[in-house]
Amino acid sequence: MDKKLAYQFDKIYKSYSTSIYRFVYIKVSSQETAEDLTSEVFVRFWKTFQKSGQDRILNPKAFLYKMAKNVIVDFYRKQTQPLPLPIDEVVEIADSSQDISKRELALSDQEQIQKAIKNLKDDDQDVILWYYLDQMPVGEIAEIVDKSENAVRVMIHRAMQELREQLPKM
Amino acid sequence: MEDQSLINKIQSLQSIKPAKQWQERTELMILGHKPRIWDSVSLPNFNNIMQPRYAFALGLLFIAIMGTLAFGMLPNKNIDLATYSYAGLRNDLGKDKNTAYYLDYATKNLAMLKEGKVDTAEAVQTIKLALEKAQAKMPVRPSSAKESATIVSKITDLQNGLNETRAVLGSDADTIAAGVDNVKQSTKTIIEREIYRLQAEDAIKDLENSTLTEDQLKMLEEAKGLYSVGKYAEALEKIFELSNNK
Repeated sequence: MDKKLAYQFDKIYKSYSTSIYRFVYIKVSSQETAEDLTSEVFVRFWKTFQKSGQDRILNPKAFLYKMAKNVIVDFYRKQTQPLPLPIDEVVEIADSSQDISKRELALSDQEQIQKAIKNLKDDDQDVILWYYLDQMPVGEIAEIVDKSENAVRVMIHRAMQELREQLPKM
Repeated sequence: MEDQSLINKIQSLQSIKPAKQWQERTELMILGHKPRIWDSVSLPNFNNIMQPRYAFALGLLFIAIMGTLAFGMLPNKNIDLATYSYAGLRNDLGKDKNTAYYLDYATKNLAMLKEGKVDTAEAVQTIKLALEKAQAKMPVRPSSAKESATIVSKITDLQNGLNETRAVLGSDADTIAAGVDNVKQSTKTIIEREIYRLQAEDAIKDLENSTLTEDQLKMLEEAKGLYSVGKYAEALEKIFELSNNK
C-alpha cells in the first residue's frame, strides 16, 4: 500500500467523515444505517483514490458528497422493506389523538427541523444542509449539483421559504 | 419564523456526530493500519533531489563527507596522551567545543586502547564521558551541511574504532555501543529535521506565490507560524492539509 496515499486519505477522512456521516444520518434517520452507508462512501472513495491518485480528485469534499448522494439513492432503491420509523413518527402514529401542540412539545427543535428538511425535495435538502450546516460556499455547492450559482441561490431561498411555512405547523 | 431562528435550528444539527470508536474502526478497516505523519514526509523524493536547492545542499553534504573521510584516512597522527586523558576531559568546561570534538575524543581513546597506551578502565570511563558530552552538545539545528557531515563522519570513525577494540573492551563494548547509538539517533533526528525544514520552507515559498482561498491563506499562516517556532514536521502536515483542500 502506498503509505503517502494512505496518509492523504487519513487527512481527508479526518476532515470530512463527521460531515458526511451527519449528511447521511439526516437522510436516513438511523445511526446504524448512517454508519454502514458512510463506511460504504469512504470505501468507494478509497478505491477510487487508489486507482486515480489524489491529483485526479481535485475537490475531495465535493467528490465525497456526490458519492454519499449516490450511496443513499442506491440504499433507498434496494430497500424492499420500509425502514423502522424514527421515534417521533412512532409517537405520532401511536397517539394520533394528541393535539398538535402536545405533539409539538414531544419533538425537540432538532427533530422538528430534521423532519422539516426531509419533507423538502432532495436537491433542496442538500443545498440547505451544505449551505447552512456545512457552511459551504455557493460556488462549491453549484459544482456538486452541477448548476449555476444563481440557480443554487434560488434553491436556497425556495427551500428556506418552504421550511418557514412548514415549521409553525409542526 | 424569522430567518435567524430558522438558521439556528438548522445549525443545531451540527450536534449530530458519529461515534468516535466507529470512526476509528472504519478507517482502520479501510486502510488496515493507522497512518502517521512520517508516512507522508519521508526523506526527499527523487523530484525534490532534482531541484537545484536540494542538489546543491546534498552536493555540499557529499563533498564534506568525502573530504572529512579522506582526511581521517591520512597516516596516523601521533596521539597526545595528555590531550585525550580522562582528567583532561573531566576538567574541560566545554567552551568552544562541539559534538564532533567529543566524538573525536572518544575515538582517540579507542585508538590509544588498541595500541595499549591507556588502561582499559580509564579509557572506558573517558569514552562514556565523551559520549555524554557529545550528546549534550548536539546542535538543535546544524549550522551548515558541513557540520552535519562532520558529525556523521566522526560517528563512522567511532563505530569503526569500537568494532576494532571489541575484544579488548569485553562487556564494556555494549555500554559504549549504546552511547554511540544514542548519538546516532540524535544525529538522524537533527538531519531529518533539517530536511523537513527545507521542505517546509520550499513549500511555503511556493504557496506564497499561488492563488489561495481565504481558508487556504489561513492555513498557510498557521503553517508559517509552526515553521517560525521550529515545528517543521507539523508545518508540513498543515501544508498537506492545505493541499488536500485545494
